[in-house]
Amino acid sequence: MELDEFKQRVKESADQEQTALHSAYELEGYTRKRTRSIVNHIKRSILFELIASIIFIVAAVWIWFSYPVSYVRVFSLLAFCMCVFLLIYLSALHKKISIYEKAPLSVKTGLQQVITILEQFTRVYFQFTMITLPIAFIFGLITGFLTIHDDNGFINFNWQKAILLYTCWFIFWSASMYFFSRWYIRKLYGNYLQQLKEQLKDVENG
Amino acid sequence: MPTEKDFIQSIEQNQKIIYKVCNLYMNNEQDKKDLFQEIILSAWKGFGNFKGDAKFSTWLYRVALNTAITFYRKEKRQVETATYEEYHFNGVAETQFKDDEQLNAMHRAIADLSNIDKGLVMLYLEDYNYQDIGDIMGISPNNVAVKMNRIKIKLKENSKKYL
Repeated sequence: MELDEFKQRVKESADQEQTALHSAYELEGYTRKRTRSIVNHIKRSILFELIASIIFIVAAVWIWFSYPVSYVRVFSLLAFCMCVFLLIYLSALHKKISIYEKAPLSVKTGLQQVITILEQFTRVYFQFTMITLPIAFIFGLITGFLTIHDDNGFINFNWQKAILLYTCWFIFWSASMYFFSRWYIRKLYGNYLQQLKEQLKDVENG
Repeated sequence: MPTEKDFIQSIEQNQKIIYKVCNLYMNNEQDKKDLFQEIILSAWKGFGNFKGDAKFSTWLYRVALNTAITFYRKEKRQVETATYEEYHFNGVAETQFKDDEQLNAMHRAIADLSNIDKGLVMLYLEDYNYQDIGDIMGISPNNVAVKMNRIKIKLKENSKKYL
């Protein structure tokens, strides 16, 4: 059977169609419900992270003025800069999602937008996790040094062994975080992102 | 400024479009309900930007297809999508075509298509021209023509398997 013949037969049967439709009241109820879309889920996560960033910025400023110790100030400045970057980046992504949700996009553009949003969100999530690792390493090293220095055990302390152990532990921890973050992102969005990319390829192929 | 009342009224008149999309893309009842709700919500969010330069039904097809194609289903519930038979005959008690082998074979062949090809077939069956289909899908009319020729050949071949 040809598709055009099928189309004709479908048209002929259309008059007999009796679908149970929703009432205006039921439809109105649907507009009040919560969406399950991934993009909206990301939007809510971003909102939460924006609030967290603001809290961390305030905390970094407070620490800067409350603890006039040079290394604490360096780290509060680093935390401040990272949170400001995150605030700007996530605000832009949030705005992008809001525009996407309201725009009457074509299927192809819609797919491209969702893929870009997902990739940008997962990239910043992963990069942020990775960038905190060397900062935590140095912070831990300085804190450890100062703790031992204050304990008067400074002269007899085996520095080489301690730094070696600390570095080994840190490499193990960093590798764990790297693989865990990649696995977690893939678990959350990997299959979905792959499906979207396949569908986009399908639209684009002539 | 369009109001909620305008929106509900427009949706009420065109809700069969949403049913068609839900039945074409989803198989189980819960997924259909979820997608129906998701399409209404997407349409409601975008309704403020609906300028009326296109027909509401065309705009709704665009929103519904976009939502259906990017809709996320939990892995456990990801099952085969519906046949075109379910899409078309859903809600019809008795029809003269239900026992038609050729029609059934075509329904099954459509169900085997990719999500994008299903969308193209649906718009084609709804009598949209290649220009309108291209606008909704985001591709050129020539590209639509090429894809439709390919789909027609594929459906003709694949429907034979089900006879």
